[in-house]
Amino acid sequence: MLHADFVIIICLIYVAILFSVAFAGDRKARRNPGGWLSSPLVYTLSISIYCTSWTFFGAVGTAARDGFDFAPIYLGPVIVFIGWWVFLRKLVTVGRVHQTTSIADFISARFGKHPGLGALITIVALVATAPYIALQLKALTDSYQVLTHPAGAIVASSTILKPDYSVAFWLAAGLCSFAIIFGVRNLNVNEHHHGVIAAIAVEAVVKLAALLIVGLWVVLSIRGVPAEMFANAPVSLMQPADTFNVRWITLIFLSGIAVVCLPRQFQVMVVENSSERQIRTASWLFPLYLFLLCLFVFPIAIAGLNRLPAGANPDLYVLTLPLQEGRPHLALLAFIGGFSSATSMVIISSIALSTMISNHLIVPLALRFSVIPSASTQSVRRFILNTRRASVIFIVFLGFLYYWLSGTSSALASIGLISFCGVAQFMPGIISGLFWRRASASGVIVGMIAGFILWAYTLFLPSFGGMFFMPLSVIEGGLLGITWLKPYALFGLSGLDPLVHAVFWSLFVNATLLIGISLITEPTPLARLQSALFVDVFRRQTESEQRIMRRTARVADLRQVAERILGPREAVQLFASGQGAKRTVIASDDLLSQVEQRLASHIGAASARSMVSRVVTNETISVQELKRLAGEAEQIRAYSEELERKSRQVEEAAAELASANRRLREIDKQKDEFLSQVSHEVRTPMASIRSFSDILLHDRDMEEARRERFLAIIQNESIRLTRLLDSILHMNQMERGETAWPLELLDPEEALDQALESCEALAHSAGVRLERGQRAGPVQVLGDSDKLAQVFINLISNAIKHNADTAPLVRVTSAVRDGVYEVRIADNGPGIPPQERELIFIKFERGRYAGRSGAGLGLPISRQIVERFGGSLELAEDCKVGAEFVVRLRPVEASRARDVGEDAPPAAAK
Amino acid sequence: MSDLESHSHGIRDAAVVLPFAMAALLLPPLVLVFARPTLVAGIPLIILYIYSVWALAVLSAFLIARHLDLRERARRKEDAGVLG
Amino acid sequence: MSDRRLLVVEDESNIAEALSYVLRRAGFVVETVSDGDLALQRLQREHFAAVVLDIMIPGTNGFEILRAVRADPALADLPVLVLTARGQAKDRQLAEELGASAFVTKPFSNAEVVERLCAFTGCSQQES
Repeated sequence: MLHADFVIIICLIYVAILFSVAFAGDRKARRNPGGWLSSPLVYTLSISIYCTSWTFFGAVGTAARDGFDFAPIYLGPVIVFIGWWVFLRKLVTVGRVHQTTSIADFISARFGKHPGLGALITIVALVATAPYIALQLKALTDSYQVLTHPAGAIVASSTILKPDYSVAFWLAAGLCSFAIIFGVRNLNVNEHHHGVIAAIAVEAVVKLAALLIVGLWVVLSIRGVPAEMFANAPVSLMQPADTFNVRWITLIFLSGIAVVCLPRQFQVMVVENSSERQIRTASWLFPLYLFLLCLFVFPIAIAGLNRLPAGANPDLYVLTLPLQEGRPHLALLAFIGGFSSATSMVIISSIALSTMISNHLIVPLALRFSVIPSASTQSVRRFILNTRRASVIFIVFLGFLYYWLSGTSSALASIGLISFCGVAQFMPGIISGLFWRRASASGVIVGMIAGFILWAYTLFLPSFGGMFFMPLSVIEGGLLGITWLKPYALFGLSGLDPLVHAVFWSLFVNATLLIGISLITEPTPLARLQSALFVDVFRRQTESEQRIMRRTARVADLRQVAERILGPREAVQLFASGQGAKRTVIASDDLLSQVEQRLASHIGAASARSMVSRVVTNETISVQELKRLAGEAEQIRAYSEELERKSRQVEEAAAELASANRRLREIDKQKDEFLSQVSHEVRTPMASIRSFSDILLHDRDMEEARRERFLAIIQNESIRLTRLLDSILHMNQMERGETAWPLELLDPEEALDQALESCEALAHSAGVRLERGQRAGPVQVLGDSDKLAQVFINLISNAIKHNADTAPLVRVTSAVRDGVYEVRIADNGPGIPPQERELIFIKFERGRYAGRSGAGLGLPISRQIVERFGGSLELAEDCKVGAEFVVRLRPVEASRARDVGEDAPPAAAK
Repeated sequence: MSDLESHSHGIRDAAVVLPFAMAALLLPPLVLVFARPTLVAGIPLIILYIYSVWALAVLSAFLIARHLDLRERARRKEDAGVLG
Repeated sequence: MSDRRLLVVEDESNIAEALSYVLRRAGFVVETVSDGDLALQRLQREHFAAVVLDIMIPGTNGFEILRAVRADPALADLPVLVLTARGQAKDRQLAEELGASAFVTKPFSNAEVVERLCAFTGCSQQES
């Protein structure tokens, strides 16, 4: 047994060393950013946070129980890393070029900077990571408790200890402060956490060294031939064929995915990456690291099996084996190794997740609800930094809470792989985002949500063994007792290992939905642009958004946004250099893109875009540029489509133009004719007036009767002139729908009588016989009696004036036919040629017939009046001699007539 | 130049093939050939096999990375020469 | 007296009346007609010293009458005063092309009409 105080002091010293390494690393990085801190070695060592305490302690345990079952967790990443040329290279390059801040930022940026997608990924990552952090806290607490147990470590590891949550709590608190102090110092994620990475690298060395030293000690202390040693080896090692089943394949596959998709891995591998050289070295150095880490797994496991009592927990062999052999300092070293692996994982995970939470959950919400303080530029930065700090605490203590709640249950044991499967749901999005241009945001979102739900249903929730959310009845009998909904045998797919089952269903459905929905949805222009930038990252690294996006914003607005996030100093620099220096009011595309990129490296692409968009007044994405970026086949297809569309548009525009031109010419002609007509119509009465007034002025000695007659003519002509002008104005008003006479009930027969009387004199003087034919009885219509009389007068006087027959006759009849009141005014004049039948009703169009009645306005006005009363005015079709005009009005029924009569005012027509 | 080009094509092909070869060696059915209860010098065959494949993968990756590194340096030197 | 005989072709009765009155007082013998066809018939059958011709009239319009008059060798020299409310340049141009002797637009000055017709018929203008 080691004394608790001693262990704590050693831990504190170790932590103090880590602090100083981180501190020194930060200082050194600030002075010389390109130094050894960004060397491929440090980069590779930081990637080793993949090996957490779960693998540090668990690999030996798994080997002791199940032989090679521990290996796939390492072999998957090995395949991915030695195959870096195929996948990692592209992933890392895109992340570097686009200054990605997290896996959520990466995927959401690829799919049109979709904010919802970023939020979704953040939530999935949080749900999958919190238990994983709990697992680290458990490993730390367990190893500490075993190491310091008064009854001795061997006894402790053989019994189930009551977890000491106070140890876990203080560990969590310590990890939070480390992560906050070194991980959340800067807004700019892309400025790299050199200090933290340095400390993580030290921890990576320590944990590898610890395991190697324990392993070497075990090997060197072996007595006897290897055959004896393996006598006690697990059966699965001696009869290994069963190990290499579907589960083996699935585990290699899954861990290969996880080494990319775990938020902490993405953080150290993609976000912290600064050159291709780093990944190139890591491609062999990281597999080598894993190789060394696993080299002594079997010797330690088998030694544990041989030397320790049967009940001892194999997961703690690394710790208990040296203690059993009386080597407490070796045990302490092993403990520090486990401590290192757990702390580095928690620190990086919390940093990565806090960035995601602040950039994809809090900042977008704050932007949406405008709760970001705008008082000073400093307060925004402080706000974002504080949300990150709070997020770190939230994440770590979520893990603590999870550990506390799940307690001694076995739920934690398998959480590592469950977590892997959870984050694996990001993989279809990443792969399609990098290699498949057509992949769309909706496809990724729907696929990921479905995968997430399936993962939770078939693996995560059942792992609680009925303690939380999902009762035992559901696990065993399926949801609502439906057997094909059994979490471990979904859709009747039984007989599989639960992990294999869950990996299959979640990823299969995820990928299928992604592909299917992407094929049927059309990406937004921005998503298309981003897809081109991601998929073709090697082809055109120099291409940037500036040439494709055309945006305008006021420099002042942009500057304000930049200052709020970047801080005044950096903002001034940004605006003082290059484009910004010119004293322009409107920001250029270059400047806009530059600012957005800088913002993106602080708060993620989606939030940066949304912030910049707030000040952008106009945004277009140049289709041509976009097309140029696209691959050739796509380019040609898109071009021809565009061309087709364009030529269609041009044709349409030309046709429209031609018809507009025609219309204009027609209107122009009409206007000319109208003016000439009006002029003619005005000049005629004017001529009489002038001539007669001339006569009256010169002939002083004219007899009284003649003088009066001439004056009467002058007066009549003046009245005619006034009427003419009135009707022109009236016509104009009617055209614009400005008149609104109240409609009233009237008897049209009265109006007709009035009109006939008025025309009697005219007919007489023109020698036309005005014949009154059959008449309708009393009838009621809605209208205005003066206007209606005017219409009748117009029609009758036209018929009289234009009748050139030797025995001129105008015949007026009325009747109610089929419920319609009808007035017919027929003459035996020259008639109207068929081609002018409709023309005479058109304003200013003058047929020979319409020619001589008040500027060609009489008929059009009459028609409009009658139509306003809900009736019609047309030329009868079948008249053999002369012309026959028909006015039709709809009579109001007696009962309705009364109603209308009572509330007459509302009946006022528009 | 063309020599360098064709050589680098070979390297790139190797870089692409490597992970697939490794996967093939580690996945059934190939791995089952070695998954038998045989001891070689007292050590189970399967342990020797998997660790050998692993070591081989590391070595191959190292060689490919070194070649790519050398090639890049050569190209940089060439670029510098052109510029100078 | 026959060389003082005028034909006024005008469908507006008021204008025709005014013209008749003024021209009679100037010493002309005035015949009025309100229809184009009728006017042409009379021109071809009877002799007039000059014609006052409106353009917009029922039947054959003024321009057609003018054309027919100029096409008829017997009438080729007949002075024709076109008196019209159509005052546009193109109307005046057309009238001149067709061989109108004078073109006066409505409203017209009585004195001008009398003066023009006197000029055509060689009379000394009488004070009204």
